[in-house]
Amino acid sequence: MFPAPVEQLIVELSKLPGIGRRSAQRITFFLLRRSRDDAAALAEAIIALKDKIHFCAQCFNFTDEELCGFCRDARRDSSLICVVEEPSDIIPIEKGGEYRGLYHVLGGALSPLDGVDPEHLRIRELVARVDAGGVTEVIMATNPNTTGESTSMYIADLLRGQVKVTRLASGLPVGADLEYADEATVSRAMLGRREL
Amino acid sequence: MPRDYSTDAIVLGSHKLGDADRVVTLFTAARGKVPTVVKGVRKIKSRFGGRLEPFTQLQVQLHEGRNLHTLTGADTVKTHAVIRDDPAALRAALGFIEMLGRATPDFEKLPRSYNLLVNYLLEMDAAALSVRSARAETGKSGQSENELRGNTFGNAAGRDLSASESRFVIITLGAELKLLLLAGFLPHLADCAICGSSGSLPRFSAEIGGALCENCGGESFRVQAETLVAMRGLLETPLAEAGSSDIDERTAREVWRCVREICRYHLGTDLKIEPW
Repeated sequence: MFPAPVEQLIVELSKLPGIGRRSAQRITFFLLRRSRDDAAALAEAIIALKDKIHFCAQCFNFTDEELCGFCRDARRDSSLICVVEEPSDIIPIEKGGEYRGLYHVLGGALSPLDGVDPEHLRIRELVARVDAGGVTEVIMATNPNTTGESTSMYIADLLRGQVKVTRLASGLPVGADLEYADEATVSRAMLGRREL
Repeated sequence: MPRDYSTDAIVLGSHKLGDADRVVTLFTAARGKVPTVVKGVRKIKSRFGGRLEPFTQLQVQLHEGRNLHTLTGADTVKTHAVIRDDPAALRAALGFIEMLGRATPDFEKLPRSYNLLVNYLLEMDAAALSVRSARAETGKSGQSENELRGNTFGNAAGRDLSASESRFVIITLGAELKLLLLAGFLPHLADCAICGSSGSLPRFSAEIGGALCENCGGESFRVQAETLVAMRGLLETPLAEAGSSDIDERTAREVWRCVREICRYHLGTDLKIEPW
């Protein structure tokens, strides 16, 4: 239906998360109306992303240098390590503004059904960071689902006795009505209640 | 048939779909295994989130689609959270869920398999609860607690099973054998699959059809007599009593090997999760 270059771009854009063929068509025709410079800037940005971004040598967050901005920042508390599944999980924690320690990105969560075992995650590297000394607390911030909880329990068992291991609290989301909460979340919230 | 329907269901597992959705595999009483889209479930304020963890028993409202059904409502019947909280129970139960998922086709009503799953989860729930109570009573903590509940996900070989782990494994093996029976894959266990002799049966072959005498051996592996006795016992024993069966670890591992070989031959796939 479309000339080959148009069809090719639609196909490529359709591979992006949340972009169906209809959205890909809209983006393609939007780009057709823009100048060549705009299109080149977008293409160059994508190539630069792939060429320059790699994993931080210490925490495995994305970075364009050897260490990421968090690991390079001397003002952050290096005795705290917050363990997350993916680099995108760091964003809400940073936006929260309560945490000033370092991170460790596992690259997923243990899931035997999907064939993800401990050796597929960066657990060995986390243990090495703790073994190197200077860490007083490891905060498990994996997702509050079965795979995330299993991963947290597995790592807590590995690090037990070496360092304090804590887990992010589970409970009711701020701004929600209790009436609509599911039973599992309410149970967790009740177990994790705190004194006022 | 109406396109909207209600049924009892148990969550087998899920995978991500798009930015905030999931495809959850439900094992339903009305239509067997149903891959179901749940929109927005990964968002913090989703009303479904905590209800769709593996093993949760639900009363669901579904809308029938072409390939996937869509979840429109869910009420919890039983969370079975205690199974998820115990690593040894979790691993064993995931093993059974994997086998059930592979042995059953989508959209085929299988009421006996559904009942087996319900009963299996109730027994695992009771076993995990008793382990938790025992742990609370002994007041053990740290490494000792790990010994009680075992560690999960790898490194199991070469490690002695704790009592609680053995119980989870034996209940799971019992349920897996019963599932093979329901799926029509049950091998010969009391007589030779080739010649019918009921004497000594020291070998086993999933391909040939089960236990074999020494003369009919062929392409097979060696099994102890206790393994066949254990398999017959687990098949005849209600799940509620399977946990107290006296089966040692070596025998349990041989039973598991037979189950895995049967699945490999009939389903053409390897089970990924060992129950310990």
